[in-house]
Amino acid sequence: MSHRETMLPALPAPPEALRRFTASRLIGNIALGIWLAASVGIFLFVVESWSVEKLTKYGPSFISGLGVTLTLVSISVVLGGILSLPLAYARMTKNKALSWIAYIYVYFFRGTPLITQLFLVYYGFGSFRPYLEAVGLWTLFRDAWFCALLTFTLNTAAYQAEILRGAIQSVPRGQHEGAAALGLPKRIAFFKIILPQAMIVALRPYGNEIILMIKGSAIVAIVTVFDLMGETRRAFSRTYDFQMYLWAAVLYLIMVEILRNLWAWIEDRLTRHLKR
Amino acid sequence: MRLIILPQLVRIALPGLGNLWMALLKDTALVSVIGLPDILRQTGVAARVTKHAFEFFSLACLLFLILAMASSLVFSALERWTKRSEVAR
Repeated sequence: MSHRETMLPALPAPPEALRRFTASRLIGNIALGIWLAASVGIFLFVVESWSVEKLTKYGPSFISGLGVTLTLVSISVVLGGILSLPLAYARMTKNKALSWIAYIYVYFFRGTPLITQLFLVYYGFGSFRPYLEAVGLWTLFRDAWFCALLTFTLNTAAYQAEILRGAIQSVPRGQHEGAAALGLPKRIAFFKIILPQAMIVALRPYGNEIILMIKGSAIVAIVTVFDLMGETRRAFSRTYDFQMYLWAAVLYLIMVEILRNLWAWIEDRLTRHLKR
Repeated sequence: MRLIILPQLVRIALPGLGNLWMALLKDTALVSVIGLPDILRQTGVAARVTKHAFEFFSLACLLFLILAMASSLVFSALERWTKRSEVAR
């Protein structure tokens, strides 16, 4: 068996392979060009139709609309979160009837569009006006803002219940068994061992749900609530200036982006014990 | 590509595509706002004409539920079909 006494001389780098101009590459370039042209066009449109007068006139109403959107979403997310606790419990319980009721509730709210639910509450409950007046709830259901809040709360409760259930069930069985082996009572094991681990899993879906709610809340503009979208529609109907919708889009984008960064920071902080 | 990559790719991508389909199905209700005569638009018209708003909007919900159920049945059948080779293991 032979072996080399000297080192091999370094070889020159292989010649760079010529990238062929394939059909898919051509299509990709064309698509990129279209996108670029569209974004440049939108930018030029905004620059050209920019007017300080419109900003001072409609800016404050945009801010108030932003406030309505944020209050609506935050209240409904918090109330929905509270409502989701018994729902998630009912969904996981061994009681057949209870879990079926929770399942039907969740299936209904996740299987139908939010806008249909909103119309059902806002227009549909108007049919029961005499009964509602008799109970004294009519003043609430006459108010579009309250109808939107009710619908959003019920809707997000269904989604959050599923998030919670999925997160709790994602905790490995061994954690339950380990807690039992240490002689911890079921309740303490749940709150001190299972729930903290489940919450880390649930954090990301919760953030997604809030973002979805912010974007979904734009539909309340149709039932005469003047949230960000409602104010935009009003401003547009007075000026016929398309850039109003661009302003609204930018504001929604800023909201979502802030939330996304906040969530990334929270997750970074909560999972620092899992990183190496 | 066609016989080895694609079958495995579909198996992974299908649940995501199914979710996307469901979300889009629900978002189609939004087109009624800009005037397309979809389920919700027609429901609104019927509710205004007959003054039975609750019944008609419940019907719209039911229709969307049926659509969602039907598509989830189709998707689970598709998923079973793409995973038919794994059953033997």
